[in-house]
Order: sequence, then C-alpha cells, then structure tokens
Amino acid sequence: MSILEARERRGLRMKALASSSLTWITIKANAISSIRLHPLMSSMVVIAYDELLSTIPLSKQEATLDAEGLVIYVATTLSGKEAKKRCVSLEENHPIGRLVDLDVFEGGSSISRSELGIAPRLCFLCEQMAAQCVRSKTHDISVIEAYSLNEARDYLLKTQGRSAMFGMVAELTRLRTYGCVGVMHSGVHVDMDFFTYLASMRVLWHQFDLINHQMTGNFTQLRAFGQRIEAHMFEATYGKNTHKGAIFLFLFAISADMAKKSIQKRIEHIRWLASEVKKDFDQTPLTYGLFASKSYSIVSIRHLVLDGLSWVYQTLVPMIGVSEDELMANIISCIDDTTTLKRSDLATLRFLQSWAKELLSRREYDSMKELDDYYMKHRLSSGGCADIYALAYYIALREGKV
Amino acid sequence: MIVSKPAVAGTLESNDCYVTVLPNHSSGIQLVIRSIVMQKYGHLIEKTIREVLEEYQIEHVSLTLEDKGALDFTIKARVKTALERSV
Repeated sequence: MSILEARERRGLRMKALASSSLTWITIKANAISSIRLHPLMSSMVVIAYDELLSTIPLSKQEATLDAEGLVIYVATTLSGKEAKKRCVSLEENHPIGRLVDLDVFEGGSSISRSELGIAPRLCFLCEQMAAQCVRSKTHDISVIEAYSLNEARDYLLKTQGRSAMFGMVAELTRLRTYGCVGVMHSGVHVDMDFFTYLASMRVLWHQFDLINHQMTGNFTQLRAFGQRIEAHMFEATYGKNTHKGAIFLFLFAISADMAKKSIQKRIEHIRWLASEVKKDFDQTPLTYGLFASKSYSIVSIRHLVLDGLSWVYQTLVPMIGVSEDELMANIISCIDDTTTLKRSDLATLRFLQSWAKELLSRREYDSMKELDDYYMKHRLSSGGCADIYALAYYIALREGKV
Repeated sequence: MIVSKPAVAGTLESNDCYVTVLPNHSSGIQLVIRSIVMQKYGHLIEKTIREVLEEYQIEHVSLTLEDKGALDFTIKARVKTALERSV
C-alpha cells in the first residue's frame, strides 16, 4: 500500500471516528517518508504519546503501522482548540517536539495553527516556514534524513531507560511478529494488544532509569529491583505478562552498560552477575522456562545470560540494520524459545528452527512471511525471541550501530 | 474525459491535500485553491492542477483543492484520483 493510500484510508477512518463527539489527535513522525518506519522515528511517536497522556484526559485510542510509519490516534473529551493548544505546546517545547506531527480533528475537519493565531511550524534546518521549505525543496533529502535520525538518537541515548524503550519499540513495531502482539494485530494473544504493551513500556522505561551503580554490582539488589519493576508491569497491564523476559534481560544489559566500557568486559560482568542465576535451576517450584530447560536440555534465555549474552553482543548486534527478517531468522533458528514450547512441543520448536535455518542458508527472507503465517495459524508465539530482538536493538543503539 | 459525478481524494493532514471535484456542465473550469503557502506557491499549484486537467482532456469541472503543504507529485496524484473517481 502506498503512502497516499495509507493516508487516505486513515483519513476515512478519522472521518468515521470524528462523527463521535470526541476530539481526535493523530500522533505521527514528522519525517520524510524514507525513514517513517525506522524504529528511531517510531520511538518519537511513543514518547509524544507518553507526554500527551500526561496533559490530556484520554477516552479512546487506536494505532496503525503502514507506509506512513507508526501512527497513534488518541481521543479526548477536550475541545478541539484546547487539544490543539496542548499539542502545539508539545511540538514547540518538548526536546523532540519537532520530530513529531500532532494533528487535531474535531467534527471531521482538522484544526489549524492559524485558527488559534499561532505561527506555522518552522523548518528544523533553517527556521523558515516549514511548508515553504518542503515545497521549494530547499534542503537535500539526505540532510533532512540525517537531522531527524540524529536528533532522535541523541534523545534516546541520554538515559538507559529511553534506550531500552527504543529496543522494545523496535520489537513492537516489527512488520511480522511471529505470533506476538504487534501494532496491527495481537498475534495469537487474546488478552492483550498494542496498548497493553505501551502501558507496560511506559512504566518500564521510567523504572529502568532508576537503576543505580550500587545495583549493577550486586545481583541480590538487582533481582529485588527487577521484582519491583515486574510488580509495576503487572499493575500497569492488569496482571498480563508483557515484558517479564525483557525485564530480566535488560537488567543485565543495563547493569553491564553502566559498569563497564568494552564489550568484552560487559560480557564478563554479566557472566559474573549471572553466576547467581545458576542457583535458580535448583529451586522449586520451577517457572515454565526453568522447567523446560531442565526437562528438554534446551538453550533457553537463561543460558544466554549465563554466557554473558555474548551471542547477542557479538553475533546479533552487528547484523542490525541488514534486515528485520534476517535478524529474526537468526534468532528463531538459534534460540530455544520456551514461549513457543509452552504452546506446542519440542518437535514443533525444532521444526520451526530448522525452517528458519533453511531460509537463512538459502537467503530467502521473503519466505519469512510463510513462517510468520505458520505461527499465527498454529497459535504459536515467539515471545522469547521477541525479547532478544528488543535487547539487540537496545545494545545496537548504545553501541552507535543504529 | 467527462466529470459526471462528485468525487474526493486526499486528506487534510500535513503535507497532503484534499481535492473535491464536481460536474460543471458546459461552464468551463472553475478552480478554488486554499493553501498555507498560497502567496508564494499558489500559482504553481494552479499550474499543476491545470496540467492534469489538460492530460485528462477535461473542459468542464468545478475543482476545490485544500492544500496542507503537499508537494507537486502529491497534488498530481490526488487530482488524478479524484478525477478517476468522478467518471
């Protein structure tokens, strides 16, 4: 579907929505089309959504992912003009305000800045009126592209929580989800959707920012903190497990990031911290992941952590930026995903892995669509792989590879 | 080509435009353009619209275009789609 078709389809949807008495706000990336689907830009949309929710009363929400990138729709009981005022304030005053576009619709038509007597948006490169720069093609596309990506990257790198959020957004906005929750559908999950994940992420990213140096060298403290984050997650999702695996992984990676500079030292730091995890294997009662690792002799995410996440640092991260499909084929073929196992059996897991491996060896990444369909059709989920995907993106961002 | 029924294309989002076409039986071409960059680029937008109308050999139409900062190719595509929907 082309960008114009996507936009028109969304316009029709907005019209239908606007027939209600609510005011609708669309949040999308203010970026040129070539980078609208970039996870850096999707993260900007999520940040604007997070900010907006703290200033407006929310009634309803929807989201789409297409040629226009991630778009979140928020309905509010505020009047159109009041909503527009708050949106303009965000666009003008927030550090990433220039990277997002907040359009306000009331009764089917959009409310313009001029109706409120507010000046039109300025170009972020030359401070001329943005619409004029667009029209006269004043700036080279590569310069505009680089500006948007750099600004987004800088903002996300400022704190570890934001960087982790970026990883989770990259995962959540994948075009194929292999049974997991995505933007356009909930995969095989009936009890949660995109917004359950957003709610969870909003809590997580602010919590990850609270990790301090004392925790990074002390597994007991780190674990206690992890349990606290988990409790917050369950509270935000009304008891749904959205990111338990991700929390576990991110705690190690963030700690290593804070404690050590080189990749090798980080890997060693995680190995040292994780040596305590070994004790988990003897504890009862077992979580499903532990049960599976014990009963089937599989390589679970716990084993990856025991090995300092070296496979993620050394093999996966360098692959980022190649293709989403290739990265997923690698993860699926190498990780014994206990989430998949829980919904099937070892034979099915091995079948999926050899399928992914075959596509990798033949470099037939287009066929990943069939693998994705298989997960959906057989009600399988790849939640463990998704967590690794998110982690790889987090590390790649921190390493300057995104 | 003859515009025989009302049709629309596009949206009112930033960098897009919303085109409405109506039959205008033997009354020639009537254009209404509203744009956030009207002063500077209004004449170029009109030129783009007229080029499409010429391409489709349309002699009678009432066309309204509400521009939100669309580029020429977007304007062209939206006008074409509206016209194709009006047959």
